[in-house]
Amino acid sequence: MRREVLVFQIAAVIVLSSGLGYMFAFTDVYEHIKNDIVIVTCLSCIKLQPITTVEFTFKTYQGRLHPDFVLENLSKRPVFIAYRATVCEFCDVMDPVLEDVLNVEHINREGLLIFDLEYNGTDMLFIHINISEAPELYSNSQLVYMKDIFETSVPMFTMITLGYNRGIIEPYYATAYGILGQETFEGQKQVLTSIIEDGIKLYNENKAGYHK
Amino acid sequence: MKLQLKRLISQIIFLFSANLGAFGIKTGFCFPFFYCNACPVSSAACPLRALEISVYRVFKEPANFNLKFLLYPLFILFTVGVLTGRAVCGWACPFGFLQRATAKSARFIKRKFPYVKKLGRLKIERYLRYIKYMILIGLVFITPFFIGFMFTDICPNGFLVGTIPTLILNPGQYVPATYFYAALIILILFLILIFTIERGWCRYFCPVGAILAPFNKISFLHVDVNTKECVHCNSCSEVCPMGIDVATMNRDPECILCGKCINVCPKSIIKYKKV
Repeated sequence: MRREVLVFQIAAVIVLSSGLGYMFAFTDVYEHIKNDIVIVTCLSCIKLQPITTVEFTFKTYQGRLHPDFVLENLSKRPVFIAYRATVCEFCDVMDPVLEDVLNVEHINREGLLIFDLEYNGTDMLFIHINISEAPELYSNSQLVYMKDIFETSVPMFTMITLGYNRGIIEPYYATAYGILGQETFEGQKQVLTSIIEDGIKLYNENKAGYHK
Repeated sequence: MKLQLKRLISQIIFLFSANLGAFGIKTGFCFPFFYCNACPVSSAACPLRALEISVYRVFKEPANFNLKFLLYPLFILFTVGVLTGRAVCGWACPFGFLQRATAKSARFIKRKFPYVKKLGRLKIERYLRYIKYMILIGLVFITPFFIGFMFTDICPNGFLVGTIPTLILNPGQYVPATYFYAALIILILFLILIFTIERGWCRYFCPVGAILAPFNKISFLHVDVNTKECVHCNSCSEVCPMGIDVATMNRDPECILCGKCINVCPKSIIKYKKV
């Protein structure tokens, strides 16, 4: 009996360690767990939601550079980015609000959605990034626009527009988190609408002076 | 070096390594014990969260479901289970360490109120230990699949090492979310439990313990009792934090290999065995 147990133990260790070795060497599961669970502050895990204060700012997180895909588009239109994770309670709450505010259908958990839309007569680029699935180029942009208190919490919404900074027109952005401090659909819609409308207004005021 | 001192050092080292995020070290490993990635300084993922997410994907995102996400945390736990059984509960788990600290209070209550001791000997106590398996299957595998509700939504570990530090570090920046008060009540019950019953969480509720427990039957490392030479003094069972009848045990799924029974056995017939 002892011998049989020993054979089983050795077989189990071989199978399990080979399986783990294979996953580490040939799959992205390690990176996925790191990026999707360990680094991201999951708001539903901490059972809290951030108090949202929407302030436009020039200063990116730790002075990081704006990603190219934002700068390239900013000369033509403001950019609105919504970040989510595949498994995220508050993201599921906010996606219908986004659909309603932007008048689009089928925002889903796909890795990346990018499309132009018209908002109150102004063109705007909408980017929906699922940080669990999107290419790093896009998911890492969250590290530029996050706030140091809430960091990589999701959902996160960033409106990137243009602002006047001591004689120069520069990218100017505002970031909001979670359910925007509002319990109701209407309240969330109102805050999101105000972020986007403020961003568009600023863009229209400053676009003539923006040279990139 | 005394065994219990070695265990204390091991628990401190694992507590420290579970919080290496304080030095910017964040990894893609899953803890092989019960600890939460919501802790601002945690260095790895909670295995239960990783399991829940993969189960949740089956329902919400079948296109993105990938078996590797389900197997990864399980393989880590199974490997540790085959090698050491539930030794991680006794030697590594930070929540086990916390319960080690509250054990004195639980022992005092047991001494002071004899009926508590009697309650622990009731036949039903044995069946209460199955609650952890129900929590594992129900809240980690079934509810995430059907309704999206997860164990980590109400987990006392998340509240203790995630919610409370977050609120302390960022005063006035957060407000309670959906399951905050439910989780707070569970945390209070958890604290009452661990102060009144030694290793109460490990015995009855820990889902990670539920995953590891069956591996005690086949693990390389286990506690062996030479029953032929036992004088039935009951010293071992008296000190066992998991309330096991050590003298008659044979690779008991509840044993956390803490070694307390080894220390007190007057005949030195309880030993660690490696195969």
